[in-house]
Amino acid sequence: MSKATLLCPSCKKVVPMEAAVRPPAFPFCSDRCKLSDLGRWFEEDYALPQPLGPDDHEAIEEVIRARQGDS
Amino acid sequence: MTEITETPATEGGGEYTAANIKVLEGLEAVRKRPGMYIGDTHETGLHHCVYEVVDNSIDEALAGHCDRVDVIVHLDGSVSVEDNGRGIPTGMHPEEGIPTVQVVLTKLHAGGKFDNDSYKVSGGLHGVGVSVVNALSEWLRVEVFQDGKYFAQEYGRGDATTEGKIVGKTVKRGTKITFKPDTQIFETVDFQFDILSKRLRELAFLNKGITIVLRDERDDRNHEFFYEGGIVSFVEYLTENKQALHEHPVYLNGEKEGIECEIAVQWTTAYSETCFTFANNINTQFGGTHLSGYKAALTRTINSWGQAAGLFKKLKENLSGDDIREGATCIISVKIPDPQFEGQTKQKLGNSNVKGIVEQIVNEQLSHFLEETPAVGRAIIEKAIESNRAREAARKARDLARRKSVLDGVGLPGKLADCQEKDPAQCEIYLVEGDSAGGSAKSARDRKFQAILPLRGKILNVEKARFDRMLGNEEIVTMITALGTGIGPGEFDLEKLRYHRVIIMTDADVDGAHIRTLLLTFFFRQMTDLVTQGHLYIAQPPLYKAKKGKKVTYLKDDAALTDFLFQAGASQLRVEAKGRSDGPVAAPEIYGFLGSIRELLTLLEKASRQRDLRVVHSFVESFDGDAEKLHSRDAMQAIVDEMNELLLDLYKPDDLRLTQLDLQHSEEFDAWEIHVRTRDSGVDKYTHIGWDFVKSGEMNELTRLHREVFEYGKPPYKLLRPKGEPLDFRTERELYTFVEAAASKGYDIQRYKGLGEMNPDQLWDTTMDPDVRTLVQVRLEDMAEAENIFSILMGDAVEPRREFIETNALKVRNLDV
Repeated sequence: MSKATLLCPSCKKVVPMEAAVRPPAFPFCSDRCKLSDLGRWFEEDYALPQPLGPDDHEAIEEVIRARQGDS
Repeated sequence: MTEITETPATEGGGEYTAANIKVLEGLEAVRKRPGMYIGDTHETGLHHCVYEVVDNSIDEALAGHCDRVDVIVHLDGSVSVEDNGRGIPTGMHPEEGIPTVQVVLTKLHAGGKFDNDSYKVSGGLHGVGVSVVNALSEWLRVEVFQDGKYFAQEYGRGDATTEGKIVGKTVKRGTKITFKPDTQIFETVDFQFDILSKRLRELAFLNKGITIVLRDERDDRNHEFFYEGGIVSFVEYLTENKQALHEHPVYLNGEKEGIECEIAVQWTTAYSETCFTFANNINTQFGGTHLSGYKAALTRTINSWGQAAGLFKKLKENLSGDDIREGATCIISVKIPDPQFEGQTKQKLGNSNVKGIVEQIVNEQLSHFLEETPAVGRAIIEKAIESNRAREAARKARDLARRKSVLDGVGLPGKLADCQEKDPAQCEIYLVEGDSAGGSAKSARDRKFQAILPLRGKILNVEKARFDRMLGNEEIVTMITALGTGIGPGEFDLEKLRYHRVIIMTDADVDGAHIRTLLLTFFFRQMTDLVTQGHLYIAQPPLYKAKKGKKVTYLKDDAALTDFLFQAGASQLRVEAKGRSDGPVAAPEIYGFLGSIRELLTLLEKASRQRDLRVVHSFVESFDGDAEKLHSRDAMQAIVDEMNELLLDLYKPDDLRLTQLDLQHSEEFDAWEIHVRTRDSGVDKYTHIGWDFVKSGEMNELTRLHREVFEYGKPPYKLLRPKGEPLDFRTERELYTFVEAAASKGYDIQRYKGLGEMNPDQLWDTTMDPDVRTLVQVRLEDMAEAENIFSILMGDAVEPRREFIETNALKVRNLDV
């Protein structure tokens, strides 16, 4: 992942990170993408994470543990 | 206009003779008021002259008599338009007594198009015929190639300057008109290649099968336009640089009551709608009945198909037309015998019967198309639902803002324990996970400037294998209201932020981490400026309390705890090791040494899971990180031998109970994999060290850490103590276990499972008191990385997520804030 860009969370288009060239809807490429994301928050669409198998469960807990380790 | 003949349309190939031409009006006023006839005398009017002539050729093409038009801009600034049609009749006109072609060129509203017999539909009807062009030209030459004869005549400013007559023989067929616009009339007589090109291309799209060539003798530029696909090609041309949702444009066409209707539409990932409508090749910029028919039928058809297909389960109501047409590129072209144009600029189609006809065609054919290709239908509807979601979100965001202003700031959520201070720069708000922790925080806070908002994660589905967790809609709204900023493009206003420090405080467990990830993601995505302006923080509640006598120390995590213990207990220790040239490892180097061992052991424990840790450890010791070795039986045998030696050397046979240690070949990876059976504390262990494990991120990290430890010094180790005899240790694990136990001696260590376990005083002392607490400020860069993690964790694709977790389980800790 290059430091200078990230992917628009909604449409996955490349969005520049640099302050001078960031779109106004950053980190989204457009207002439309930002709004559809907002809609998902309102609609309770974001749950962490999606249905998983027992293996995933363990693995994700590990990720979480590892992340807590340094925070 | 008077006398438009209303004879019903018949086959276009009928007789086209002098009798078909009717004289409607004189030509006098054209030069006096050119604007009335061609719009203006600037660029638009100038180019209009060319279109007027080309339209005649297109009419011939529509009638099926012509398939090629050549437009040439000449060096002297004149333009010629030549087609291979039937040629304008040159015989004597029965009423006027001059060649019919001369009538066409000198009488206003004279032409075959005013007689439905000759041309069923005609493109140039908005204009006034080629006579206007003649009137506004310094000179004009007409050449007709007909029945082997070559007819020519010249004009000057609308009047014939030569007699029209046959001047020779020809094998060609068609009409050629060359004219030079009059500088007395036009403010500019400079033809623009690009302007001509755009319209001629459009005409070629709208009239499939016709070839239109544009050549500019001034700079030798030329274009040839020919589109077999007609308006389908037009749509493809317009979507060329966009990402289409389906491969080919949808094409709908039909003819009813003599009205031909063609529609081509393709959906793309774009968010704007592109729609061009034409009636008889005229760009109806303001739409009209054809457009409204299309819109109504499209909305109805897509909605009823989506309902029937069960795609609207989450929707409260039907999709709007705007939602459905988002990202659609559409061309509508109708050809009508007697078009009626409305509005000031005559760019709106008025024929009321067209609406119903277009609707009927769209209804029937689009329904059929959707039945045939449901995948395209689903893609279109998915996109429309997304658009609907955005629209709904914008509405909710506006409602939220309005509700707040109605309540005038008093409408703060009941759950919020606000602070007394009103200056946002002095205020902070703790977003606290869980009600009990919220209660502790409320008691602990300094109510002068600290506000508390307890948030609860909502558990979605509590099946065993799921642990979906989310922020409920209510929590989000409460938070937005408490912060005071509003939300959404055009509504979010950082100036209205009520607290300049927004502090996320969550438990150090999985739930807490989930809530924190969700909050961070929400802030990053929807309140980005709050992050960039440095208003977002993460509280650092301790995980441990270490008590010795009356002295209490709070430690935020495992690493901090062991570092603390070693600082106190290992400062006097020294370790002699193999391969060291500069004496024993001593303080402060010893802290790093012990820290590296701790990391290695922690990871070893994690990586071992069902495996025997001792076996995995022996593998790490014997393996140099080169996975390619697995392909070689000899190389692997050497590793197994070394492992065997290590294990037998370190552990008593009775403790280890090694019953199997061998290599087996895996066809799948062409790898020699190690299989080991042991017994550990009475439990049978089966350790499989295969290709997957060796290639994993864990093994990679284990190898790295192991190397790091050995850089300090290799075993065996000799521990030199200020008091007591030196002690020998065969492995780093034994060394560490001893030192850790020695260092912890005398300490009472308590692990906090959650914020709720701390009493208010402890919470204040460790986490909330501005004088002693540590807050981690969230930076945008951290967020961008967290965003990637979030996207992957939230993603639908299981494989990338699994892969990500496996390879990044070790790296993420450095990314998180």
